Formats: sequence, C-alpha cells, structure tokens
Amino acid sequence: MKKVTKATIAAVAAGALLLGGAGTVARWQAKQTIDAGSVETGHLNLTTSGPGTWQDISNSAAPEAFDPTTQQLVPGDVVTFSQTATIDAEGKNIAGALSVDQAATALGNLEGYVTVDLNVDASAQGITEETDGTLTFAEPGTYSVPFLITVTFAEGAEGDTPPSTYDQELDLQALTLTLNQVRA
Amino acid sequence: MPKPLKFALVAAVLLVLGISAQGTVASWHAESRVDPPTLTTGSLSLLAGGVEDYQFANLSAGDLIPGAFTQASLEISNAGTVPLSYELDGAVNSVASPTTADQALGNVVQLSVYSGMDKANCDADQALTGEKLYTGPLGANASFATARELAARPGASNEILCLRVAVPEGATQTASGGKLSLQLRFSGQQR
Repeated sequence: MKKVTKATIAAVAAGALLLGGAGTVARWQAKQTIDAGSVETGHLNLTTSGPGTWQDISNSAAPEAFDPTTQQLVPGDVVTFSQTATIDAEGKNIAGALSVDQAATALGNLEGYVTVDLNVDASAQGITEETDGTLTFAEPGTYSVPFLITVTFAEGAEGDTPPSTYDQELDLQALTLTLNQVRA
Repeated sequence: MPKPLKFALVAAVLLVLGISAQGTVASWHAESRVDPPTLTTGSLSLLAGGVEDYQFANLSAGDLIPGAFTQASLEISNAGTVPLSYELDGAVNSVASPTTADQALGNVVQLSVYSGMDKANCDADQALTGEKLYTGPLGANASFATARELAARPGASNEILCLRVAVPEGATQTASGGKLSLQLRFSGQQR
C-alpha cells in the first residue's frame, strides 16, 4: 500500500472517531414541574338596579309619589329620581374613583326654565368624598352608592313662563356615572 | 462608533421606552348611564266658546233702547292638562274710531256675568240667577271678585256663564245711535 493511501485511511478513521466521540458528550439532566397555581384578574363593574323612585317634592314638607308616565311637570314643580348604583370591585390592589358626568341635558324649549342636577351620596359606607367632588374607595368590595336626580321647573312670575314650554319632553339620558380604577 | 452617535442611539432607545411606558398606563373604566323615564311638561289652555278667540255672535243685538238688554250664555273651558283659575280681565268697547254716541253708549251700559245658570234659561233671556260674578260698567279693570277654578279633564273642566249687556233706564240721550263692540278678556293662571 502506498504511503499516501495509508495516510488517507488514517485520517478518515481519525475523523470518524472524532465524530462518534461527539455523540457521547451526554450529561445528567432532570426536570421538575412547578405548580404555581393559576392567576386570575379581578374586575371593576358599575351597575344600577331596579326602576328607581320618583317623588314630587314641590311641597318639601309633604312629598308625594310622582308618575312620569301619567303626570306632567308645571312651573313650580320639583321632582326627584332616586336609585342606587352598585360598585363591584375585585382585585388585590383595586381602588377607584366615581365621578358624575353631568353633560348638558338637551332642554330644548325648557332651557332657562328647567334645571337638572345629579348628586351622588358621599356618605355611603366605604366611600370617601375627595376635594374635587369625586368619590373614591380604597379596597376591594361591593359598594352601594345612592344617587339623586333633581328636576326643577322654575315657578317664575305670573305669566312669565311662555306656552312654548307646554307639552315638552325631557330626556335625562345624558346623565352618566363614571368609575375609573386608580393606583395609589 | 463616534461618541455623539452613541448618545443619539441611547436617547432614541430611552424615548422609545418612554413612549411604550405611557401606553401601558391602562386602567379599568366602567360607566353607567342613568336612564330614568322621560318627563313631560303639562299645558295650560283657557278657551271661551271652545276656541281661543271666540266671536260671541249670540250676544249681538240691534236697536237696544233704555231699559233693554241682550243676554247669552258662554262656555269657558280648560283644555290644558293642569287645573287653572281664571277671571275676567277687562271688558271694553272696541269700536274703531268711536263717535261721541259710541263712547256715551260704552259708558252707560251695564255688564252682568253670572255662573251656575241653566244655559237654556240664559239664552231665553230669563232673569239672571246663580252666582253673581260681576255687575258694573265696562272698563279695562272689570274683573270678578274672586277667580274661578276649572279642573283639568276629565274633571270639571268647563262652566257656563250667562252674560247680559243692559242699557239702563236713565241712559243719556247722547248714547242714542251709538255702537258697542264688546270685547271681553279672560285670563287663566296655573293653579
């Protein structure tokens, strides 16, 4: 056998040994599954329930029931609508602020004669009234917050309220309660 | 890498991080729209003879002489949705360009308004009965002693008045040949 052929065979054999040796670089390995349980997010809900209650408080000393489906407003009337908003807040660090968005209700021909106010009861348990008027809560829970809409039809002087205010509809849908999560 | 270029890259990275951080300030938000039923205002409407501007033809008369009168019934009604009170708010002679005789006649006639009288009897010129609301001369200040009340429908929303315009026995001669165009004004107020 020629010297060159011997050298080639030796080189190929050495390469094969090296390649085979690479497959044998095996180290110990172990696996362990960590069961950390599941993580859930909380929630922040604001709802109103029930039909609410209307009252005619034109005579504040003797309030009466008011039925807006059969009774109409006239100058000098003051009627209120009371209902309760429920805040349902869940989450370790949940906190929130409730504000009243008293967007201008479309008064139409009643502009200047009728006013609409929405007030939220700041004395509800767990609720704090801030200096800017918002109501806050600092921990998870369910909070019941009564609110009151007051509609006032100014009495005016005799003959002061024009016939254009007759038979007008007043839609109060623009009144909105807004609840925002806050971080301390 | 030149130093200014390195600073520029670092600044750009920080800016990108800052913008990303702003985008992550997302908190929960809930809204509840307060939706009470729609409110409706009422209305006030006082009608005489069933309309707002009534031509009281039944009270017309010609050739009235001293001691004579004309008399007719008038329905006053509340066509609004709220109770009201109303009253006479002036009774004047509205003849255009009145002559001396017209003015004299307007000054001497006596107007009487009664409520509670039967309509047929009133229209038949029977003697006035019921509650006297006004008796006296014409004038812008002619009014009832007390306001009348009318309920909203379907309550007692109307009543019949009996009106008489009389030329007194002792009417002055200057009223002879005069014309009278009586304009009665009633005004209603929400009660």
